[in-house]
Amino acid sequence: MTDTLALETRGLTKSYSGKAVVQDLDLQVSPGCIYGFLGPNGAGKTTTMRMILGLISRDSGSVRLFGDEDPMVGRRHLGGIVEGPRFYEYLSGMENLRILASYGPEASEAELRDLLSLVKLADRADDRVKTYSLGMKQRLGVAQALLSRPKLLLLDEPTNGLDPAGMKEVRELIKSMQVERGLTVFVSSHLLSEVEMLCDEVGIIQEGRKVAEGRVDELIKPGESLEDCFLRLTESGGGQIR
Amino acid sequence: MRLLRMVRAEWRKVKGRGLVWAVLVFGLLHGVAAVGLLYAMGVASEQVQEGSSEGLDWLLAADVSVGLASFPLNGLVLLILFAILWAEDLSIGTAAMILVRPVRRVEVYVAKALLGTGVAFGSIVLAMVTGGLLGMLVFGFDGDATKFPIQAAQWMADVDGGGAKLLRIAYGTVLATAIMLPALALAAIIASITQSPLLTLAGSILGLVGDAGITAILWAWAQTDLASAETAASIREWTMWSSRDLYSHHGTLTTLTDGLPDLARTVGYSLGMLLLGLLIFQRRDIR
Repeated sequence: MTDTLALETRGLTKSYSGKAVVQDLDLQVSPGCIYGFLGPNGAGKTTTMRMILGLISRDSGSVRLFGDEDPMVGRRHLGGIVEGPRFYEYLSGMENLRILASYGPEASEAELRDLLSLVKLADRADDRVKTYSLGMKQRLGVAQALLSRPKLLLLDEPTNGLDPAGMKEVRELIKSMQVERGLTVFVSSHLLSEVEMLCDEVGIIQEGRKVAEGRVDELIKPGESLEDCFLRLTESGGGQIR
Repeated sequence: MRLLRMVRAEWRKVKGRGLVWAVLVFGLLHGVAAVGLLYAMGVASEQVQEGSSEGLDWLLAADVSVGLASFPLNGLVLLILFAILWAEDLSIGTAAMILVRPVRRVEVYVAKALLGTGVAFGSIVLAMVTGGLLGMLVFGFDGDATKFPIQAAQWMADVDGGGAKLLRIAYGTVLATAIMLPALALAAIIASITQSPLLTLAGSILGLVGDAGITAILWAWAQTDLASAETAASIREWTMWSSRDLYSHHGTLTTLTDGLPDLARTVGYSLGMLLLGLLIFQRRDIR
């Protein structure tokens, strides 16, 4: 079972100046699912994602990606954006992709164009990123994250700051990546309605600790919304399904 | 191959920032300033114009003068470039996008170091060629560079045969590039700590000026009658600035190898600082 998981963390712990931000966190993400990572602001979601992506060191614990603990091997299957995508705004979307593609397996120009088409930016490929709307930047960020042809995609608050139409676009994009490319998607969010519409599984953390994890339909009681469920679990201190 | 692609990516960023144009323009200005410096020093005298010479001599003379005029013009542009090269990805957050890709931090770091060295080398070559061509136009094609009132230039021109002259030009270019390496390495350390291009630039300038200041104080100290004067003189030998004083060897030493200890120390300091910068970069949390 363990080696078939797309992502598994065990005892993940991180402290800053003696204050624990993430404590002994165990997560299990099934392959092919969309996993919602929920928690109030400051719960430790972004820190956890940074540890999974190898951007920050961890005090203890382990991260396995598709059963492999070697970060270099794992990262071949991984794409991600934490705290919003970042770009060289003075360059075009295409040039941004070219630059990022240089750090890793080679990608042809045609592949880069295909990625831009996938995120509906083909007609703006040669425009500078600073002229893009927030929604377009989010989509370009997704294209960047897809460069490695990942099997697992980590997206931190991908709909943050978008208008309803932009949110719908990104939601549909994520869903299509799961259906058409078979990707596992790990999405952090504090927008519970978004997660409810999008995710198959959720993990909820509070003050750096996991309070619940499992399939959405298993966590939610009959007649309850995900918001009710979230409040019940975070106020009661948890109800772990796994 | 993979590393070359990363160097190319760094180049694309620098190019996108318009810094290539800045390096080109300041490289040209550097060459112009070098000739201007020679002119101001009375090189355009009849004495120099009387003799017969080869075109390469002017290139040699320009090479020397590039060393003399090194930091004020081109050096500052290179410092700006180094600051952006090392710190921009950390400051705007693109480092997080890069480092989630299947690359090692050391590869990204080496790619930046290679590009910085390459651009420094290119700017020196550009300045030299500009200085050489302009030197021929200003002082005449028939001038005799061995009559320059600069000892170093005399030494550069005082060899027969194109091969020997080209060797000296190549050596001079390597020295001039080596002079830039401590600045590149210092910027790497400061950028890894501060993550800010502006602080990296300011810190690099302060570091280099501070080192030159200490060297000057030690020099003055060594001129006194104090008992510690000898110690001051020997400490001075080991400052970064002293080890970067490579050009003095052009005029005073008879073989190319005599300048090697200073060259080795400059490169050694630079590699040491680059290694320290790498250790900090490897351990730093990317936010």
